[in-house]
Amino acid sequence: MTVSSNTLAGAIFLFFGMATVIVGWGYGLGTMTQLGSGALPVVAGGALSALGVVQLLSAVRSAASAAVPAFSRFELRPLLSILGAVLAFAVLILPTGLVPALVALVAIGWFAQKGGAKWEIAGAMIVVIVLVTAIFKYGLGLPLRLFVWGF
Amino acid sequence: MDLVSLLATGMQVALNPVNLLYCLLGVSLGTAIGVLPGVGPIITIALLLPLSFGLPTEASIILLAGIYYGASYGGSTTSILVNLPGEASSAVTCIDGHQMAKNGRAGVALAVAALGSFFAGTVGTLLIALAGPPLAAVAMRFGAAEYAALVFAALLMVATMTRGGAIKGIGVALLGVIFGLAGSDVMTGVFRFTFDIPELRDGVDFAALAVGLFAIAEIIGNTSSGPQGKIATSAIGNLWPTRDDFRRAWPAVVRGTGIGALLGVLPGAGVAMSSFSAYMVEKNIAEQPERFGEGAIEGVAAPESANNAAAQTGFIPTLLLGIPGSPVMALLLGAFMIHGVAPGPRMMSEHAPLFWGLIASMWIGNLFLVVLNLPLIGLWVRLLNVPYHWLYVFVLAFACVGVFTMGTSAFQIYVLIFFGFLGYLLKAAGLSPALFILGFILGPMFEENFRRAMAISHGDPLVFLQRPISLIFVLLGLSVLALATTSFVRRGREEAAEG
Repeated sequence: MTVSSNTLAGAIFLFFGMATVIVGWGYGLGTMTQLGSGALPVVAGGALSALGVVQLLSAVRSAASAAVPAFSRFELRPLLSILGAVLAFAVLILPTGLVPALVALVAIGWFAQKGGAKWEIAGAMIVVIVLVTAIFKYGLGLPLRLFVWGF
Repeated sequence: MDLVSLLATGMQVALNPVNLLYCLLGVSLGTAIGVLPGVGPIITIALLLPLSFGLPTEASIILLAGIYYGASYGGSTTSILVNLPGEASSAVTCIDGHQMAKNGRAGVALAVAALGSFFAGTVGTLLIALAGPPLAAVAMRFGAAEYAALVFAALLMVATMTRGGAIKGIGVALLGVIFGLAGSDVMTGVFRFTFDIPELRDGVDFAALAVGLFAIAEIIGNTSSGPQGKIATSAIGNLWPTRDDFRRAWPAVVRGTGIGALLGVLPGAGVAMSSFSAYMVEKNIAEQPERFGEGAIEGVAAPESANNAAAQTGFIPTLLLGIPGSPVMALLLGAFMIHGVAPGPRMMSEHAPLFWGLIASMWIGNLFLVVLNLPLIGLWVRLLNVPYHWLYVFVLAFACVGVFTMGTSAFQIYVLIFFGFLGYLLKAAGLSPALFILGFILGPMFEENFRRAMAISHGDPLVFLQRPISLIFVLLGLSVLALATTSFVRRGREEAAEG
């Protein structure tokens, strides 16, 4: 089954709205004079949930033929590849240093798109490492370690 | 101090060689990234935000403002040469600008856009300088109730004016408000929505959020749409407009500047509406309206001047009240806050050199665009020929390293992943990440002032209606809401009647 973009919007609103009300309630609503930490989150969450319900209802009511699908079929690969590349960078940056983290990032991120010849990936790694090091380490003088073992 | 000496103070700051260099750097980088098709000022600023982290406050703010002009200008270049607008405000420029490019007059279109923008920028800068002191004096008298009501009205005005309908607009802004409330509560110190994660105690990191929502989500979206072919660009040709071009363009520039300067101050109206309005005005008063759409120079001059004037006067509510009237301004405001500067009525007295330095650098930045960037435009356009798979891995690496350098832990990169995914979902759901940012910035402002006003009035909510300025803002917000919902109801009825 396909999820329409309007249904997805309603679902996002309802999910975050309800979660905010439930968690926010615990922070205390306070009194009118002294509003508690939970007061605004609960009101905002409640309003968002209500908008989510209205959005879902109108998505159901509108003709299915006119609905815009939220996702086309081939989109899982770029999503996983890009987020995976960032995750690899996050995991590697502190234990190994900048260069290995960037190598992993380019290696994984490259597969988001089927483009370019095999040698290009090595070229992209070198260009990325040289430019990023030049800009952040030497240009801006930020304390980045290229390799944890040395430099 | 009088205006002249204040502007002189500003010039002194802006003409400091280091600041001058950062202004030039910002304008050039902004143009370089903004030239890429589909990349508007918001994405450009979010992406380049990390570059400003290590810099002194003045330099970083001048750099960011320069990036903003550069990106806006780069967007119009792509509209003219490639017919691909990076943002709504450049869409109008495409109509006649690209037609001129097809007729071999791309250079003239670019030059008129740049000169018109420069004129508009000069007028806009003067307006900020003139409006500044009196407006700040009024704003100084605002209490918590007035501020809360103003934020409320601004948020509703922007949220209801986006495409996709009021429900989606208000909903996504509210979602941003909720994320903005995370962190320690300013009034009580309670940690909210931190889930026992120490890094979340100061709230969600703005840079990671902005880069994730825009840069990461954008890359996922672009790589999803499959391999892109080479982009065909028109030749630039001769840059200098003819005498006839000048004669037609300059009244359009003046009118566009006026329209833009006026609309730029209003929250929600902003840059896109001003360029559209300016175009419509030109078309309506033209002697031969049929020339529009066929490469009429007024069709480039007016909207380009209007959006630059609006971009400039949009700084007025942001700098003087501390309330951003548009998503781009919300992003800039967030960036200012990262550097410990809170724009608002006190900025002018407490950070006088910074404030006037920024104003002066705006004018210099506009000058750089004309004098330096115009001849270099061919160079920037060559960036369009870099294959996308080289470009996006670099942008990805740039975003990760930039966000990482904010803190010492890898936590902010996990935040980046979260918002990259959320941004992807928002896009799929047809929700505007820009409005999310606006809610994120305005939400905490609203909460703090609202709670303070309630405490001062001993819990009487009527306080918002008893104070005249606050009453005006509340009524404004409510009428915008009423207008949006009634048109929603009407549209619903029409749909039901058709179905």
